[in-house]
Order: sequence, then structure tokens, then C-alpha cells
Amino acid sequence: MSFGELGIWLEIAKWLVLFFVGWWWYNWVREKLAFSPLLTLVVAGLVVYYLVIEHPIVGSIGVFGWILMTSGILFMLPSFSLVWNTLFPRPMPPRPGTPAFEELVNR
Amino acid sequence: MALELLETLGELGFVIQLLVFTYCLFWLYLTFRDLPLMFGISSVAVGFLVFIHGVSVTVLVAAFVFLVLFGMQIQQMLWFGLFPLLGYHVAGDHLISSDEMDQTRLQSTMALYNERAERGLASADEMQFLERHGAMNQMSGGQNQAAQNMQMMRNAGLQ
Repeated sequence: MSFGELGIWLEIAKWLVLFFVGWWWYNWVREKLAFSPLLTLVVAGLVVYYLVIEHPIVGSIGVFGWILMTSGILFMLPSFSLVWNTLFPRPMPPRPGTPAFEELVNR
Repeated sequence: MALELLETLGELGFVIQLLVFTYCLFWLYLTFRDLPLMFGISSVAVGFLVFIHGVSVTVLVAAFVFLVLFGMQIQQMLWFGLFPLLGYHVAGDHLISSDEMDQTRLQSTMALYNERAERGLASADEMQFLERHGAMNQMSGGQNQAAQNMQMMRNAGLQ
């Protein structure tokens, strides 16, 4: 794959993400304001305008941050701490009588 | 540049207020589903609060949502993610260092601090560590091994 093709695919991915973010915000407003279709259109229009067209990065962070927090994926993070501590254990303190021990005593 | 930043913050502030107002409307609609008059009055009141006293109410709602929805996840991440990564564990009402929970590591550390104490080089923290783990008693022969182990386990929050 050439560099140009990669750029095209990235551009397509960007538009897909933006479309998803826009749909997500619209859906959020639609769920919350289900009692009024007119209010839904007005609020969704404002939200999508500001969070997808004007500030797409902030809008995306909002959507994916929310998905990250509510999906429960973060409950998995503690496992990584255990794996990290297992792979990279802290060095044991030196045993008495060794040069390293003497060095630590007189530090 | 500063003007652009202010403008952006203003726009985002407005959107956040709008989202908070929307969420409040949703909640009010569910609460006063059979009382349209109450829904109308409370909607106006909430709109006034959110858009006139915007910052304080928005911060309050955001904090409420954040803590209620994510409180448990934050606790899980701190207790079982961040603290172990930093080398600490929750032991009842306080944090305890992983080093103090590991008997081999604890004995090595105590040997080091004992040696430093005997040579008069120990710092206040190190002396406190030794006192906490009953090492001073051991030095004076005041405790037997079993009692010392019990003390260690108690200090480590295991009993």
C-alpha cells in the first residue's frame, strides 16, 4: 500500500468516525427528548453542529470517553497492573554481607 | 489566539449547558410524567438555573453524574489498578506498601534498617519503620518469632 492510499483510507476512516460521532450525539438527544420531536431536532442540530462540525475532536473524545467509561473495559485495567508487576518486579533489597548491602547501609 | 480560545471555551460551555439541560429535562419528564403542569414549571426553573447560574449548576450536575456513574470504576481503578502499580495495597483503613506485605522483602528491608540503626545512620522514617514492625523489640530480645510474625501480619492488615 502506497502512502497516498494510506492517506485515502485514513480520510475515509475519519469521515466514518465523524458520521458515527454525529449519529451518537443525535441518538443521545433523541433518547433524552423523546417526548418532543421538534425539541429533539433543535437540540440535536445545535449539539451536532458544535460537537461534530465545529469541534470534532472534543465531540469524539466525549463519545469515546463515555463508551470507554460505561463499557466496563476499565475494570480490566487492574489486570494490567498485576501483569506489569509480574513482568517487571521491583528488585529485591540486597542480602546482608554483600557489597550492595554495605553500599546501601552507608549511603 | 487568546480570543479564539475564549470563543471555543464559550461554545463548549454552551454545549455542556445544553447537554445538562437536556439531561435534566429527560429526568423531569420521567419524574412528572403524569403531572404536565409540574413538568412545565420545573423545566422553566431548571432552564433558569442552568442558563442563568450556568457554571455552578453545570459543575454540580457534572460532578454528580461523574461520581454516581463512575464512582465504582474510579474506586476499582485506584484500589486494584493504580495503587498496586505504585506498590501499595489497601489494608483496611490505610495503604500499605507492597514491600511490607512480602515477608522476604520485609526481612531484607528490616535487616538493612537495623544495620543502619546500629551504626547511627538511620533516618526518622527508617526508625519509624523499625518500630512499626517490632524490630526494636527483636533487637532487645523482647519478642519471640511467633509473636513477631503475628505483629507483622497485623501490621500488614492480614489479621
